[in-house]
Amino acid sequence: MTAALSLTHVSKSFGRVRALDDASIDIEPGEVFGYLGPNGAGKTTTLRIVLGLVHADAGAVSILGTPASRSRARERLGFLPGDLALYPELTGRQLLDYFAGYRPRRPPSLRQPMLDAFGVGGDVLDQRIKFLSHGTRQKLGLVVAMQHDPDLLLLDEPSTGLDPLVQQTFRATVLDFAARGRAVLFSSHVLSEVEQVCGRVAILRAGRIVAVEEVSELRGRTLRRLRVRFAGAPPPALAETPAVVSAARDGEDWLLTVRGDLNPLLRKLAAADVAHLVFPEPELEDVFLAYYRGREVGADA
Amino acid sequence: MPSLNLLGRLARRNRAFVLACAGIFLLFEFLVAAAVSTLNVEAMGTQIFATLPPMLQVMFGDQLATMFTSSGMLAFGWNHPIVLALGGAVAVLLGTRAIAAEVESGAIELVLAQPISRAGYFGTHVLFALAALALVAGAGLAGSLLGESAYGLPLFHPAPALALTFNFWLLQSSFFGLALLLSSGAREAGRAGGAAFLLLLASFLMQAIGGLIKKYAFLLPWSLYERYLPRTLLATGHVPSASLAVLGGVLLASLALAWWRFRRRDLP
Repeated sequence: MTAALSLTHVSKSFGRVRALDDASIDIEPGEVFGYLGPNGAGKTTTLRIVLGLVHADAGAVSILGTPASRSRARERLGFLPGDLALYPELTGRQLLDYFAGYRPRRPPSLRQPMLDAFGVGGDVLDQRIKFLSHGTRQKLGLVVAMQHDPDLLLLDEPSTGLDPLVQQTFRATVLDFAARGRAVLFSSHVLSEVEQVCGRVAILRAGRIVAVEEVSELRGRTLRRLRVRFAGAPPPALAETPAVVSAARDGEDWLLTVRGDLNPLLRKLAAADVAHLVFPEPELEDVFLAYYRGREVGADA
Repeated sequence: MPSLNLLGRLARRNRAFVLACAGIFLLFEFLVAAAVSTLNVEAMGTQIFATLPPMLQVMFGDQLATMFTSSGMLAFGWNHPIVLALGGAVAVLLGTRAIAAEVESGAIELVLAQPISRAGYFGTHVLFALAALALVAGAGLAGSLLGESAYGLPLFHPAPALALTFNFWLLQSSFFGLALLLSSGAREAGRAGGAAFLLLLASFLMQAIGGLIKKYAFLLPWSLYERYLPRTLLATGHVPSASLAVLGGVLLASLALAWWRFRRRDLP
């Protein structure tokens, strides 16, 4: 089967800065592929190379079997930029019609269902973009990207500005897309967002793809930090609990670094008298540490 | 076709400004004709000439002789700074908006993510601008003809009228080309537009100073306005080949360079 998106040894430098270094990925139809990395890692550069906005120094890109350098390759593609810039003087309706006009052979069949799902009504569509909130503009950007039911969807930080309910609707839409055989490249610096919708994920750092793997493996590798305070004595052999990589005291609190299956630890905590528990979202650096030092930590455990 | 879609957008976005400039140009030429019809221009020219010191009579005698005729005054209307500013404004605005303004706003990222090539994008903007400038030039011609007809003045003959309109269009198109060249590598519309405006102003001043002060006559060949000759055109009926070559050359060269820059450029 032809890959929906194929990058082969793509590199790009801006002056002395190596923005993308020998990147190769293949995204299959029906797949939601995560592209994860901190700001400045090269995610947006990759998307711009795919779209022909930036010229790669080396490598090849194809979209649904067509070289990405051909404008017709973008006929079946939808794109949401990270810095969404819409024409402020247009109304929402004019904006959607304008971008639909670039694909006369692909009518905007998904426009109304998406507008309904996002709760964007006619009164909003008749307002000029400049008077709309950031979140509403982001919704319009998503509709622009998806209204023509593209076969490949490129999303750069798509949840920016969306409230949690709309984010949920959006994630369901993305999963539905993939279920209908479409491919999605989901670029983000938020691990939890990628974890919720993606099947595979590429980890990007300083322009290099350091790993491509299933999200389940990513979860298994990622180090997470947990802070717990016990009202009484801590559970015995806390540091030896499976999934606990390290345990340290910080005043009255225990700082636990954990990875993998947390159930044994959770059972131990449930049996103990816990006064305070904080379990924040993992930082991206923790994800990267798993790849740069994971083997070393794994060997110790 | 994607290019038609973009063309429609350009028309909607710029129509108010272009139509306003065209309308003002039409009205201005009409009013010039109205003013000319109320004057005995030959007698006025003779009186003005008589008041000049001998040295100025020698310097400006020929110019005054050609200017103080009906067609000379009408030609002056086509060389008035207001008219030149109108055409220049359209040229600079469209050149600046084509690329630099879209880069600055970030909109170019979303537009070029659509199935339109850079060549299609560039070509559509050029086509629209040249058509808009033709509309403005045509409006000026319409104003002159309407005024001549309304006030019983001798009408421009077709050949000189078309030559004049074409020369005006070619002049402003060359400024559009230069503005587009500046825009093609710029990230900010203001800077590109400001630089283009300064080019226009420099060209205008070079012609003004070179024409008034003999010591600076060497500046004249460097001014594009020196290639715009309403009075000569109305007398001869055709655009001098040197003017065609220079203005046409500037237009084609600037468009070619602008395309080369835009095509190679990483966006935004």
